[in-house]
Amino acid sequence: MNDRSALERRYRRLLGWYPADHRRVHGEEMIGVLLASAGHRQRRPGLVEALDLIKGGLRIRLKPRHYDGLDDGWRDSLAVASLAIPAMIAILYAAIFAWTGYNRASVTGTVPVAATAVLAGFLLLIVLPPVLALRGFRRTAILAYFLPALYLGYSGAGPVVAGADGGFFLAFLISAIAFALSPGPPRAAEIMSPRTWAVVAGIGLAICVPEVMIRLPAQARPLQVAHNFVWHYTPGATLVFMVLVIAIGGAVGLIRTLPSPVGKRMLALLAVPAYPGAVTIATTGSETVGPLSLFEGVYLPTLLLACLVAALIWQSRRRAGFERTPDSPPAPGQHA
Amino acid sequence: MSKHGLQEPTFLILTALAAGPQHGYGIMTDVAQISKNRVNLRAGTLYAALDRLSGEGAVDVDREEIVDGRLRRYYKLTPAGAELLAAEAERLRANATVASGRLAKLSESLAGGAA
Repeated sequence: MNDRSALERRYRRLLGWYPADHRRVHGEEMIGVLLASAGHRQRRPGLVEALDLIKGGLRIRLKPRHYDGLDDGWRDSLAVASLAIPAMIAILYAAIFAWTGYNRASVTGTVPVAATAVLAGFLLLIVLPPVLALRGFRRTAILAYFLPALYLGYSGAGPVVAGADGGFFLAFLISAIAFALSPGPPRAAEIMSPRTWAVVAGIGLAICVPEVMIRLPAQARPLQVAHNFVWHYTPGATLVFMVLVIAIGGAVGLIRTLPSPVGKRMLALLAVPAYPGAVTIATTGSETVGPLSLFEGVYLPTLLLACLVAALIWQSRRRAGFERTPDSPPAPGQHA
Repeated sequence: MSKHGLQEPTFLILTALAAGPQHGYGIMTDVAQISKNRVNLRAGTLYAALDRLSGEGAVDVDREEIVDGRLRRYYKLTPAGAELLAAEAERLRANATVASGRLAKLSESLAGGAA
C-alpha cells in the first residue's frame, strides 16, 4: 500500500466522526481537500489535524436542529414529553439499578437475582413504549405507555400523588397522555438535538443521587454499619440544595436546548410530576412536610399545577382547532 | 445569525469568497494569504464553518467539478453573506477608528508629558 492510499484510508476513518448525511454530501470533497493540503510523503494525519476533524465532526453533530417554529396546540411539546420523560426515568432507574447492585454486591459479595430481575423488568416496561412508537406500532404503544403508571398505581408504593413514587406515577401518566395527544416519539426525535439528549440524560443521572440517598440507606443500613460502609446519610439542607440545583440546571438546560416555545412548555409539563417528587426528597428526614400537612404541602399544589397545565393545553388546542380551516394543511408532525 | 461579531476564521472565509467562488482548498490557501499565514485554516474547521454558513444562507454551492477523479465543489457568497460580511467589516472599521483616535490622543499626551 502506498503512502497516499494509507493516508486516505486514515482520513476516511476520521471522517467517521461526521454524521452520515454530511459524509455523503461532503466526504469525497473533504478527502480531496485533506489530501491536497497533506505533505508529499505524509502517511498519517497529524495530531492537530486529527483533533480538528474530530472537533468539526462533533460540532456538526451537536449543532441545534432546525425547527419549523410551530407548536400548534402543544403537539410538539407533548411529543417531546412522550419521549423525554420515559428516557429520563429509564436513565434514572438504570443508574439506581447499577448503584444498588454495586452496593449490594460489594457488601454481600452476591448479586441479588430477584431484585435485579424486578428492576430489569421495570426498566423494560419504561423503554418499551417509546421503542414501539418509534417502530410504528402506535396502537400497541398507547397501551404500553399506560403500563408503568398502572404498575405503580397497583403496587401502592405510597399515596398516589405524594412521595417520590407519586412523582414517577404522574410522570408516566403525563407521558402516556402526551403520547395519546401528539405524534409522539417520531416527532420528538426530529426536534430533540444531541444536546437535548445530553440534558435529559444529565437530569436522569442527577436525580439518581438524592434518590439513592433517601432510598438506599433504608435498604442496606445494617449491612453498611456491619461492614463500616462509608456512606453518610445527610438529609435536610443537602437534599434541598440538590433538588434546587437539579431543578434550576434542568430547566436552563431544557430551555437552552429545545426550541421555543417547546422548552418552556416542556418545563410546565415536567413541573407536575417534579413537584411532589422534589418536595418529598427535599423534606425527607425533616418535619417540614409531615403526614398532617401532606395535603397542603404536596397534594393541593400538585393538583393546582396539573389543572393549570391542562387548562393551558386545552385552550391552546381549542385555539389551534379554530384557527385551522378544513382546507389548511396539517400542523408539522401531525398525521393526516 | 449571530448577534455578536463573527469569529476570525468565519470572517476570513467570507472575505475569501468575496473575491469569487472558490473550492475548499482554494479557500484555505486564500485565508492563509489574506491573514499573512497567521490563520492556518484546517479542513475540519473549514467544513464546520461552511456547514453553519450555508445553514444561515450566507454561502451557497456555485458548481461542482471532477478534477483528477475527485469531486471539487465551489462555494459562493450569497447576498445575505455579502451583507453579513459588510456589516462585520463596518463594525471592525468603527472599532479600529475609535482605537486609532484614542491611540493618537495617547501618543500626543505622552509626547506632551515627555516635553
